[in-house]
Amino acid sequence: MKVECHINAGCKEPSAVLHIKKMTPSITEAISILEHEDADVLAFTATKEGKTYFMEPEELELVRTEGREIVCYDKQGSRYILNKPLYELEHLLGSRFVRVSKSTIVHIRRIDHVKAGFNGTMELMMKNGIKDYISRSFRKSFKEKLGMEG
Amino acid sequence: MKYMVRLTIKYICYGISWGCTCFVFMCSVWVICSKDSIAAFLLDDFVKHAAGSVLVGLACGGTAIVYQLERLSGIAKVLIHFGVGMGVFYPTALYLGWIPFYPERIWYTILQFLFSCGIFAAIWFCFYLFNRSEAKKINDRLQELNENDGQKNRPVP
Repeated sequence: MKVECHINAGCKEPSAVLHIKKMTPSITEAISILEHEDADVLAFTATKEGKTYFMEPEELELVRTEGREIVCYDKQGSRYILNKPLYELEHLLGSRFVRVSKSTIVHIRRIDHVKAGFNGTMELMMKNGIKDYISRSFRKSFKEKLGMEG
Repeated sequence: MKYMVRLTIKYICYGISWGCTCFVFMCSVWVICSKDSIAAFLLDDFVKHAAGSVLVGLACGGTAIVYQLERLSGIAKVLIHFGVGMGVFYPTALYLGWIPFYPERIWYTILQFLFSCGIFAAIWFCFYLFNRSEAKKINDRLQELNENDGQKNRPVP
């Protein structure tokens, strides 16, 4: 893609216009990065075995509700407890994450593969070995996020 | 809660529309194929047959809502869907005379029941095949994205 950049010291509010044929995951990601350029770097806290850790979205692979807890798993498969509701996390985590069911959000680039389930759902295997599933209601938005037609 | 109410209404409408569509389709086929005899049989008790179709549509199509319930295991979902679907379809079909019932020929009834189960399983298997092809497309796309990532991360010589 041809990129042109005009540096102007007097510019009050930076803006970008993209001329594209169709929306792709990379472009969605680029837009998200540009939109949050001035925002603080997002990090939130999570607890594991009584200790509190600062987590960054890129470290996470999957966030889901387990019983009454909201938990996340990192690339090594370690489990942490979060103290934010899922809907809030969905907005905080950014464009690399996608909701796959009422109770789960996953990092799209950390999905290993999907498998058709015998019960109409689709099983999802993350690269860290954690399993979940894509429910029918979220399949369309999941495919759109992958840049496939719904 | 709001989500569940919306989902339930959606599946009820889905079940009713399935029942009505199948009823209209079957009526058309019967009328075209057997002219007056079946048409008269349907028209005599039209409301009863239509209500029966809606009920079966709700039991077979509407109960697919179980696949959206996250607490149930996969096998429980299939068993509930199959059990409710067949549990409603077979008695309704016998009562309304869609399937003839001969008390003296019980094997005939058993075979009919197995045949109905076979049709149910075949429809369910078609959905599974569709699901499998969807999974394949998603996996191909994931692989494509991973390859793109690999190219981006490759060091410049």
